[in-house]
Amino acid sequence: MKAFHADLRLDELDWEDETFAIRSFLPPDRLEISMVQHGMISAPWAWAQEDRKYTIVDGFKRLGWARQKGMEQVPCLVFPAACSHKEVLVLRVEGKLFGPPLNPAEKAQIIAQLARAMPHQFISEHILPALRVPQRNEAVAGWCRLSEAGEDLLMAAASGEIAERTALELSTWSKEERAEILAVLKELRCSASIQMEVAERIKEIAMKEDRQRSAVLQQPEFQALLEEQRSTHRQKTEALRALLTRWRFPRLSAREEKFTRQWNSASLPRAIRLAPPPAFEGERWQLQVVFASPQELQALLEKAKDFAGSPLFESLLSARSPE
Amino acid sequence: MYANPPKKIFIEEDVADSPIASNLRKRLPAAHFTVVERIPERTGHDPEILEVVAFRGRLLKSCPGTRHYFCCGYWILHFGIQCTLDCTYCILQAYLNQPNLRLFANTEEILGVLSEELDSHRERFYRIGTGEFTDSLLLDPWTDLSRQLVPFFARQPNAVLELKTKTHFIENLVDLDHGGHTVVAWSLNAETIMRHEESRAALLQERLEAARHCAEWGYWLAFHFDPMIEHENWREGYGQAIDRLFAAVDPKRVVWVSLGALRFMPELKPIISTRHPGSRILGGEFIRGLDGKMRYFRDIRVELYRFMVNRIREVDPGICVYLCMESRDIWREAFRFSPDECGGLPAMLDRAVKDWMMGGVGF
Repeated sequence: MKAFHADLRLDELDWEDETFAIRSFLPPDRLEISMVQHGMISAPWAWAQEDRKYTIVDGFKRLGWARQKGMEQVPCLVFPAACSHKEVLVLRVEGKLFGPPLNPAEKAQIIAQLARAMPHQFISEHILPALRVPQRNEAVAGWCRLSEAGEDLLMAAASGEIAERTALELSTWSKEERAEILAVLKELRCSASIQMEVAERIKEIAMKEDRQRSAVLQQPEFQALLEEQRSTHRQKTEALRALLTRWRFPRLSAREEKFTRQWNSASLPRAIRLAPPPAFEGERWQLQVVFASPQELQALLEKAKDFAGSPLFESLLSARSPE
Repeated sequence: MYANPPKKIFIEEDVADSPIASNLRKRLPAAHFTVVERIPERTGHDPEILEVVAFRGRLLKSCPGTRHYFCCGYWILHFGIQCTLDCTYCILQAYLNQPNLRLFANTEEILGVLSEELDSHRERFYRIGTGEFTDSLLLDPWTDLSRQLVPFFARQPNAVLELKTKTHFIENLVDLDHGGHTVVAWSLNAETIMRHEESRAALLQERLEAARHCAEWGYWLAFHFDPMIEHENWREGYGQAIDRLFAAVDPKRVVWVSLGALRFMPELKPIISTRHPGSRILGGEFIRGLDGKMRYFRDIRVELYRFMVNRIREVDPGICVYLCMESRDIWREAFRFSPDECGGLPAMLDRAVKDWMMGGVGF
């Protein structure tokens, strides 16, 4: 396949054909400034068609800018009509792989375009590592789904408002549910791991209670926390995480509350702290004593010893099952 | 039951003339057979494929227990891997480098190694199962493997075999000389769980019917309510399963019943979500257990177990019921005792074998 450089007339380009378009979903401001200052530094790519037209392969924004400026022709790298779609696509993707870092929306479009032309296994083995995408089973299908998940999600993923993992997860949600959770996550501005936690909690609460995810999101208690004007994003995030945890783990939460009530009723000094095993799993409880002197330690240990012999302590340890 | 026979069978040269390979050829004339030097690692799952290979690793493994939870001390005879029943919760889905059904066909060699192990530790008693990495009877109609295993164990004074299955493929067992050394075991569940989460396996009625036949043929039986899954009306579901179980089989033929609440490696969660989007099992109230696996919050497990123990005790207080991979505190709350108070769980189960299967005479 021999590509050659030629000046192409802009009216010879097929502007409707977006076969090779890989949109960044980011504002083109910076590119426009560069082109105004320096002109077009690298040649766009085009693929000759039998009908004397040319399909744009690379440089959609640059060519669009040239048309807007009223230019009649632009120097391009031209692939002859004898090239196959797959050959041109492979080069297009190679060009992207060695360019600036790709955002999730671009990765999704690249994977989806390749998936239409070659086996998933090949993409999984050869392209995903180059895109720094984990080679999980079904990964290709997941990225293809993201490429179809709508402009809002792709823009949010491209801009970094939504993390890559979260975007992939949300691509499995219905359009309406996705719009709702996207609004929540944009409002919270939380980290990738917390985005995933929030999304998974909502999904699992809906699954557990056999309800729509939207119904969980529209719960008055949830909405009230989300719309609380006096809270910072961080405070809202923490409050919503606590609420979702309570809904997701009602039995464990009830047990924790019961433990706290019982412990508080013991009225021990604040310097003594009893910690149950995480999630009350196993038998390793911990007692923490904070002290400043041997005398203070002795006094606290006396109190702890008295408490250890009390029926309340026994009940705290043993009454773990619902009564 | 929707388990279809394999259609594409790849056989490694080393075992191309093995009894299992020739049985498969005889029983599955319509299948496409390919003999290869070595079966390559595959990444894609194809339920129509069966790989027949010679096993070259450790044939006998101890049950993968952990120090935090009591283990039954079971031994696993590794004769195959994977399963096509495709239960939603199954750990085998996470075995991504070996996604297809694979059978180890160097049976003579496997039994030779096993024989040496049993002979060299006569003082030890072995409860050995084949149903850990695959279903014990899933391929039996086409491999006749049970026709080799069951008579072999009949001759072993210090071992019993447990064939654990969710199928009703018991035809091969009818006329075998089992010598009382084979336990045929079924994994059971509430019927609604079977329907939704084990949809390719045999129905409750089919499993119990098969169990009844095995009891008639003199086999000992075992049942595993594992994984128990908390769901709406679970008491009714599990209660009915117990009622139907003991309406179908004489409790005196039951050597043990195990209980185990659903637990899974965290890595399995996204796999279940993707492969079984309709399943609701992940909605359970799971916490990370001491072994790193996800488990129901302890109070839920205690509730499930207490209910089952009480229902089984109502039928026959003498049945050996045990918990699979649970801690001392859970045992105490479910049973009012823990295995370490009676010599440990393996000893409890060995006693069950001695008292029930061997009429108290031991081995």
